[in-house]
Amino acid sequence: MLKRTLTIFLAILTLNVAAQRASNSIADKKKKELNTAADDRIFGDDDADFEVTLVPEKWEKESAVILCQKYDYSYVRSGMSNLLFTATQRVRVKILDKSSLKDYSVFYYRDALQTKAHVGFRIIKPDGSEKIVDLDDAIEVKYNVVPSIFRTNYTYSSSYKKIAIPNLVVGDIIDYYYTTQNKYKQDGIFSFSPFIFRINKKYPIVKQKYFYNTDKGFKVSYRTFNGAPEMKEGYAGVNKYGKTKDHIRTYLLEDNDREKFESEYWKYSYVSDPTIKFQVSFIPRAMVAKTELLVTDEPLVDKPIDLKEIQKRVPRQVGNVTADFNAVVLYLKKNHKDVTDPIKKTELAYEYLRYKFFNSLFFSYYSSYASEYKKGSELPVKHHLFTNTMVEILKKLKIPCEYVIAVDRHYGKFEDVLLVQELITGIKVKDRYFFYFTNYTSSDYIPSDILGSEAITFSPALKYDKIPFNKTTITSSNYQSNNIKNNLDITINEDLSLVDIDSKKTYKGSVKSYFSELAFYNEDYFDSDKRKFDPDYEKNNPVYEAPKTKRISKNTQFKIDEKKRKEDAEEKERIDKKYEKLKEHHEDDYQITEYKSFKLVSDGRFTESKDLIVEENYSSEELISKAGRNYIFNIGSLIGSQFELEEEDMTRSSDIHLSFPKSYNYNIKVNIPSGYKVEGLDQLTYNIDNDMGSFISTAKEENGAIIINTTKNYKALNAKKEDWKQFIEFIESAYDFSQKKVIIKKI
Amino acid sequence: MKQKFLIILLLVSVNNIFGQLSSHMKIKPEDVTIAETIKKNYPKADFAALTTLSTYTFDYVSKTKKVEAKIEHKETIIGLKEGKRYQNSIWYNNQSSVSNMYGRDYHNKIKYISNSSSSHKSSGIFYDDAKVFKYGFSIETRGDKTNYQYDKKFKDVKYLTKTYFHSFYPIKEKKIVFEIPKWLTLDFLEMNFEGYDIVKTEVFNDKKKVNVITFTFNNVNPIITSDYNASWSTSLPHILILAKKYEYKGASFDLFSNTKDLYDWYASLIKDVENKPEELKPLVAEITSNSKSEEEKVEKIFYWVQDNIRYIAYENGIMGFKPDDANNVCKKKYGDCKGMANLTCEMLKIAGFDARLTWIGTRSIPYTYSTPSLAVDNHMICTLILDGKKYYLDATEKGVAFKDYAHRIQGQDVLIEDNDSYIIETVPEFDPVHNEIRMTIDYYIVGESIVGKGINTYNGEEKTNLYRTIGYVAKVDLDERAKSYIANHDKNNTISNLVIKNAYDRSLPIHFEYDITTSNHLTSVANETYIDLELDRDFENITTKEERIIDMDFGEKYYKNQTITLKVPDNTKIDYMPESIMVSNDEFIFNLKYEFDESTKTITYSKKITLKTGVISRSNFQLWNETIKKLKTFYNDQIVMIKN
Repeated sequence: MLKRTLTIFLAILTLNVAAQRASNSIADKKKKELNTAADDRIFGDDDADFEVTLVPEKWEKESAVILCQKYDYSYVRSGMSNLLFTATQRVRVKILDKSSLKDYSVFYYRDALQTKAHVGFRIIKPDGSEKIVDLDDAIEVKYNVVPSIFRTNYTYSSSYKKIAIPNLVVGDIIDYYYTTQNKYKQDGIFSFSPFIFRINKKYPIVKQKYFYNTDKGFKVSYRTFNGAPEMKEGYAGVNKYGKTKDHIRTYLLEDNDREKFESEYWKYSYVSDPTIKFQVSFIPRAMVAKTELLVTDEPLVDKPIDLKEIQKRVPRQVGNVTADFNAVVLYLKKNHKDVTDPIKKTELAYEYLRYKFFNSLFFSYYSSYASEYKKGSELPVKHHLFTNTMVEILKKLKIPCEYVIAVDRHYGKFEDVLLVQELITGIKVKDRYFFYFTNYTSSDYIPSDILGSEAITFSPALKYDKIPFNKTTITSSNYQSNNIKNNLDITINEDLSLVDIDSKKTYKGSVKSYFSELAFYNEDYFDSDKRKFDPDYEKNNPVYEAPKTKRISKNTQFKIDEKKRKEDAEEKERIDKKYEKLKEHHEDDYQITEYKSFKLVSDGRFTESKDLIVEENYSSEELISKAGRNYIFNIGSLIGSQFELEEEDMTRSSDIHLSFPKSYNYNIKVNIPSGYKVEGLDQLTYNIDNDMGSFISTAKEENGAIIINTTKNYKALNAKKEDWKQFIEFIESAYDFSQKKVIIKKI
Repeated sequence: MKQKFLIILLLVSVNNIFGQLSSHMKIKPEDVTIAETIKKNYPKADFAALTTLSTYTFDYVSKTKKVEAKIEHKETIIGLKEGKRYQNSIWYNNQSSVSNMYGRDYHNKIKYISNSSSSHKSSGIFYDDAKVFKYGFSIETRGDKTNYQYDKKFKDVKYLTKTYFHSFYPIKEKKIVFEIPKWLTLDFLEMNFEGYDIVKTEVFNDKKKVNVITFTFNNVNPIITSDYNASWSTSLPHILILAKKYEYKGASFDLFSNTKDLYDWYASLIKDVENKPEELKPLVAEITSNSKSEEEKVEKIFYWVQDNIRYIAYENGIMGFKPDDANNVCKKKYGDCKGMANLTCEMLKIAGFDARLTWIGTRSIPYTYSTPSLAVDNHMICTLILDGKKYYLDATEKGVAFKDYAHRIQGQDVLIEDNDSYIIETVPEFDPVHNEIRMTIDYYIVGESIVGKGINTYNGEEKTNLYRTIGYVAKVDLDERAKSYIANHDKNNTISNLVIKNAYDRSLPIHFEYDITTSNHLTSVANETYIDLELDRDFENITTKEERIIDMDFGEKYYKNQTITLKVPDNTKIDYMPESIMVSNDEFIFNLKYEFDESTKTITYSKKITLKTGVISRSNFQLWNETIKKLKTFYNDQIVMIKN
């Protein structure tokens, strides 16, 4: 009987497999037919710009030149309730050397019948002959091996293929396309992902076009900046059957002769380089007034957005508030009745809300954030969640506050804003701003993205359009308030072979983020929140005391001992790992012989202790070495690795945007071993001070010790490219200092 | 479910960190003692194997007419630390499979062994049929023991080639057992056994009717992760398994009984290759036109394949051994080593040369063709026989000149096709001088900097490497990138007036001439000047852990010959110059010294570093580390000059 069942089972299994195979081959055949049709359609396009074969003389020494590229997007309605989105990207590149040949020799693409994704590659030889690449040679690959540039945003599990492009050599042109078609259910508002991108790329571009075909009901938000050409409205577009319809609008942007992208330090490329912002969304007429998207009744938004609209729409961004804000209100009412100052009260609300939020994030049963917590990674809460929650809390606490909407300065000013994503919200209580928290921040944190940015403020209300707003600027912090103070106390051992460094570092303001991850790594920093806010803290974290009267059973004693032993072993491992990581970090500056201790004195997350303070002790053999009868001490290395500007960095073609102004102070004391003296301190005096920054240092000998004080200030937040020379001055001085050595001699 | 499991796991690990773990497994004191004793010797190890037993058995499968090999692997793992996870992988491919994985916990109950199979993506290989079976389990505490086992099968014994003793964790007792039936002739080669206490025993098991050969190796040190690793097969003891023949129903069948059998199998695969010479003829004629000599024709063909065929490796079943058709490779403009060797040979034949397909094991393989095994080789090249001499052409080595050979094939045995027979030869081997990096700089002092003129010349392997780098730099960026390379990416060195010679000529050394200004290498205090003439600080951080068991391999023989001179200003005398270093042994020479010539008032700093074979053996680790330490002190030292 068993045998028979088994046979039947096997038979079914075999049939299934066979059926699957058959369907696979049908699918393959169908896929191939569709691909060929796509090839015919796209390569067969009579666009003369894709006929170009010549590279302009000025670009002949480049690795590759894009002769023409076209991005074609079509958004049309399909039936009563579906939206059909078709995207086609076609690129024609002339390969001029081996380095670009490598870039174009392997392609990855999505391959599944249901996604209607097609690709095509053809090679054009210098003699004009053309050959379409046979996709049969492609092999299947797992999603995780697909390089990110080939991945699409929405398809995690889609199958991918990769193909080695055959018969492609330097001097050839490769002409390729990717096309996809997706259907979406029309169900109220549907917004496609917004895009903000530069139109200058790795290789220069002879011609590029961006084309949009949009049906009735679709809104196009589209603006171009910094020399990117204007978009023009074109002829009537086509519907899903390819038929021209008057109500379908088309837009076209054409760009010629585009130089390649050049990277520079502290460059905000969206405000310096030719940039396009766009978003397409489907919004039924009745919903236009209700959406948070910055749209109007017009099908095209291509002008600066009225601030009134921003005020009205931005606060509509909602999401699930994970923390129960009523709990915050109750906590304040119960525990801080006596606090009357609204700012102080808001600070407490901020900290308690953060505690609730991370408590659920880190410690809920299914939390995937636990490992991030352990690693000390920064985890920000969404700004609009924070703002809307705080507004509710403050309303219940009867604290007057204002709603703040500021422009992320990576994208420009209010006049440049097109999309909700360019704006960051927060609140203002009296003259204090509060913005979204992360697990690193204290309540005075202002994201660097909006420092010095334009903002509007207004009272929270049900109907924002009825309320007046004030236009203002978020004050930028100054360099003194973002400060790293380093106190180093240094001892040289007796035979002058090892240097022992006692360091105390204080990070103030925005620079805290430079060290928070390391400081929090393998550290239970959230314990301070729990201590402060969890009424059951002591109950949950009992200090076990052995019962005095009762005899402990063997089993209990075992458990106590095991717990203690395990905790000790784990604690030791935790510390070892942390020290290893810190050692690695310091070795960016010089080699560490032994990393001996670390203490997190203050985690910098509370209003009353908002500085991050750490104490460390480590030693290095690398700082001192023998030269003849004397010793060379690499004293300059003590201020850490400095910015190294290369020859090509000496000129500047774009304006300068720092994350924030900041300053570094080193107060160094080097105890001179007895019987020795120091020479060469005179070369350690620098005094460069200009509007953009400064590097100032002094060095002296006092009571048997070398005393060095250095200050490096980055004073400006934003600067003109003409000011770059001033940056070079102080940056180069600091580098120079870092290379200095003094001589320690026997008296 | 998988995701849920992962999350729970993460939580457990956090709990561990903060010491809230509440379950306590009772471990017998003797197991705690064992764990702690092992931990004392291997403080970094999280776990160790108490016993590892691999038993090899063989079966004839009449359906496939193949001899199948099965390995039953049993292991007892003991935890040395708290809350760790044991993880390991098994490789397999179309010819092998893994099955029957299961484990038992400390209390001998069934234990969950997590496992997953995935394709392996080795770097540089476009498609690989190798798959990796990953498995693992949790270890609660020190002394916690887990027994687990699995089976691995080879469909055909010829793909079972070797087995190692070492792992990445310590093993107290490792046993490899072969149960060889009478009908099978199996030989072993004991590789790199010297210096290891490996015991071999042989008994006949009457019951099973098999000859039982057991290799036992106790206290096996773990392989620790390091840089510059030599291959396992050159460094570690292992057993090469040679399945020679079998008998079935009274008849005897050869597997690989000798080199001829191996060659015959390879030759049978080549017979199926369908090159279509007529398709390639016009191309060969075009490439070789206007050649003034036979050698020029060879160069043109060899370089054309190097330049125009991209190396893309497919490792897929039999295609791992059979070359792709020459015209196919030429059409696609890509291929693996076999495809490229086949195309080179075919094109040379069309041009009238005697060219042969040739099998070779690169340097990572220490065996010669006297050993008939698939483990002997991993590469294919083309041998040209011209005027009675043999030349070896490896077109996968971009930038290598005709008559030059890449380090990885130098000195290696080659198996050259010769119709029904074969030829075994050896690729010529060069001295380190062949790869000389020669650098000279003549400095003088200007203010607080030293300024001079420099010349660098790169030969052999160094030139090939540089040729490839330059080949992948856009011409607009070349000057800048070359300057940065010469300056050793050090901001203190400014390079100007750079002239690059032979950058695109593979037959000549690459040559740089330049002006250099070096700042921050001079410190003046009172009437003394301290000068540092060391620019590159070669090898200063390349030390190795002495407990490491795999040799260091730099991948090439090395010879750096650098001479830096400094003109001493008038009215200045030399107060001190760093003491010379001279260390020489069978594998390396460090010869660094300062000399002062009174008559020309010139200090000459000469640095000659030689790695004779490119390998630093385990036995030399101590001397190597001591030398590097000395070297570092030497680099830190400075010249002291005093103004009169």
